[in-house]
Amino acid sequence: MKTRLALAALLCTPMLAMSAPETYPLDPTHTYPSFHVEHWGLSMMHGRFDKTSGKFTFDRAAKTGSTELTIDTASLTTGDSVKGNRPQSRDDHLKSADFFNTKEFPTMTFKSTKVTFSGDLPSAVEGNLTLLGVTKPVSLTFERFKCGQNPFNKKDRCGGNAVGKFKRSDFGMKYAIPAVGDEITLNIEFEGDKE
Amino acid sequence: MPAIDKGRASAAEGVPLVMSLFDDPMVQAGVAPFVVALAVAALLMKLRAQALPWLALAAGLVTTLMLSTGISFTPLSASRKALMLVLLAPLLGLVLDLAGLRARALLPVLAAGCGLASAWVFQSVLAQAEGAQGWITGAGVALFVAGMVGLVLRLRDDGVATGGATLGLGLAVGVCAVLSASLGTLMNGISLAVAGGALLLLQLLRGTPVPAGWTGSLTTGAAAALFAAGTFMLAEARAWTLALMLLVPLVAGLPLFGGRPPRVRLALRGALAAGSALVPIATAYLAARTAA
Repeated sequence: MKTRLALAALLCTPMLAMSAPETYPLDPTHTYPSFHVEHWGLSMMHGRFDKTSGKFTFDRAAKTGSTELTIDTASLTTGDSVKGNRPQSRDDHLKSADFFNTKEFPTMTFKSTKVTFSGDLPSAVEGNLTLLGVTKPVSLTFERFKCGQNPFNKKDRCGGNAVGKFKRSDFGMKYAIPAVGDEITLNIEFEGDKE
Repeated sequence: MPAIDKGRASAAEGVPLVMSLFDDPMVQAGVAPFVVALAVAALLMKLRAQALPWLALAAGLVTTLMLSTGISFTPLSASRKALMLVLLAPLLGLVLDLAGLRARALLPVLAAGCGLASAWVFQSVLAQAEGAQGWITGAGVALFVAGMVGLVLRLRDDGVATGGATLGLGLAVGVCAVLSASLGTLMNGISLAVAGGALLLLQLLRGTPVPAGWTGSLTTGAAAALFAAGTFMLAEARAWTLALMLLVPLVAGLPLFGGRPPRVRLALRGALAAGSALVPIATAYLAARTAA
């Protein structure tokens, strides 16, 4: 009898482990939200936020999950930060009240409301983006979401890329439309070790 | 290759980089508000109601806003709060003028009111400061706003001084804004400057001043003070650049060139008031060069 109970407990252990929610704090050195936007109807210009914090949690068996990100808007860089002889650099201008208004709104956040799965991994996330004090729903699709093992600390590690689009004017960022496009494509590259 | 060919074809067809004439910032902040302010002021001068032509300042600013970002107050950010007060200022001034209120006691009340209102405008930024820094900064900004509004209100009976101060302060705010990375405020500043220039020009052509009353002086005072404070609170302008902007209404109010013919006197006083803006502009430029 004791042997049977022990065997049953042993068999159930992996199932319990599989159904447990897994939490992954974001690795700030491998998590970078970036965006691109049309410039003068010509090129797609890219920018990136260098400081992001947050975590993602998912339960493979229950197919539930959540994520929250806090992005430091003043960490924005587009590769043009030195103004030289010009009145301002592009980074300075994007941080000004014309665009991200970083002094008044030092962070933007994304909080999930629903995570969709494909197999045992998330494939899309719906949530609320708060930018310039305005909160609107934004959907992100995971172009990739993979899990493996961190070769250095041997911890479970997941990461991927989430992509979504929104109109900046919906958040009150209306300066220089249409010269600088209204539609923003957000691409979040992320990784995190399991907690 | 096909993409390159497509690009060449588009260039040959003359695809405009600027969608239309009214998408050009020079038109939005310069030509359009000047023409509108000139037309509105000329029209309202015919009504012979004092100070009414100074609504042209607000008309110029509204023109710039309508052509650029549009007017909206959501989300109610600091810059939108400032804009809301700037657009309410001429209405309040007009009510005071139409009511015939000329009491000198109104000046400190209006100036102090604008100073206090600046705390509401920048409350979200001030709240992020640590310790007493928020209170100190808020008090400094409120003092600057109250001082600027008070100095401009002193000019309310002198249309040339108000016009010159509007032109000078608009230029100073605009240049200060562009050097501290806010093109939206640059456009608002230049719009204010050209509308002030339009009123100055009309007075010059008429040969007689048109008193700005509470309508014109409160518009200029509130706009210059709050836009300038925005370049400090929301961008990178230095506090002493703002302090030097107070020189403009001070110089504009100097009773100079008394012995000259009226039109020459008007032109010289207007030019001097506008020229005094070179002091804050030069310091803003030097500060920006040092920072670079």
